[in-house]
Amino acid sequence: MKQRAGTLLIGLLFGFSLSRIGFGSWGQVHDMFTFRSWRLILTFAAAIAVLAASWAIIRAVSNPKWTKRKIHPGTLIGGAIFGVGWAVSGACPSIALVQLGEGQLGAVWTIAGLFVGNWLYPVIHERFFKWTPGTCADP
Amino acid sequence: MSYWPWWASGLALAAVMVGNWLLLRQMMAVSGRYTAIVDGLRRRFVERAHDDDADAEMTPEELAEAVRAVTVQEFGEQAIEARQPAVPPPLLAPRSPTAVHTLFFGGLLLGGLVSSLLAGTWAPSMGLHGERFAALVRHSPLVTPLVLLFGGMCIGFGTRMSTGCTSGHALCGVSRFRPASILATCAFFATGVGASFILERLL
Repeated sequence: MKQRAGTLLIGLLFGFSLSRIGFGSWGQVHDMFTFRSWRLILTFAAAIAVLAASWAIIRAVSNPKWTKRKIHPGTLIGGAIFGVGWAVSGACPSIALVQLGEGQLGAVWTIAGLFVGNWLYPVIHERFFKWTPGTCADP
Repeated sequence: MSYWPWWASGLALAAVMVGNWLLLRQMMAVSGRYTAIVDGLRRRFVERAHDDDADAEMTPEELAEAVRAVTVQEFGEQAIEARQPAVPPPLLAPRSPTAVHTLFFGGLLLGGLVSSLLAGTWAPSMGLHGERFAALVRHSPLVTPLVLLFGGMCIGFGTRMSTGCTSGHALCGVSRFRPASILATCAFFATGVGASFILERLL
């Protein structure tokens, strides 16, 4: 119960923030990628700086078990493919859902594409690639 | 909607990530939730349909339990205990039932809805809001789905291939100085910039 309520709450706060930051706007994302506006780039920089400090504090007061994700060829190639998708659709995995909430109904197509792409990857990986992928859910 | 300034935006994102850790002991990893849902569906509908023999009907949990039983029989209880870490490691993305991931997605959607309703900017659109996206798809109700499906497939395929997206790699990964995350973030930012400058010519 706690996990469900907590997950919903975090999702809600995350979605609300992303919407107010303007990540759901295709134009804002385009302005970030073309350096017309530095607001979203600075947002990332600020978030990463605050997070780095927060993790340092969390590490100092507790002993979190964080395990690493391995580098493999897919890290670079997959990242590159994702970047193209982000620029074209103005969405990343969370944003597509926020856009839908904002009434941008076209995001239904983005979400459908996301599921199809995610479904396809392991099928193609098994046939053509030799490296061990790990998963986003790896501990 | 007037957007938050960069410092408030950065603080809000960081607060959500840290809150997620403090409350649920997990890192934000949204693409991992897609993977969990997709694999759940695959297990339920595809693999079940192919495997008719009894062995293949085992779920991963049942298989783990069977392996454990044989291990105990062969080597005794201490063989199991020696392998158990004192504290189970937290997961990047929770291995929780599909319902929990769906709940998270519902939260994201609701967050966007509440935000735009409160700002008074909620408006239905068959594509995405804004003149420039409309210009990109040539104001065509036929081009819109094609462009967004293509974009979505790149996101789904790419994030699963690089095992992470903006939340897991760019925010939670880079801030913990992880080489894989820094590499992936450089890659998607670089191609995002490149693709956007190409798209610029189509607007």
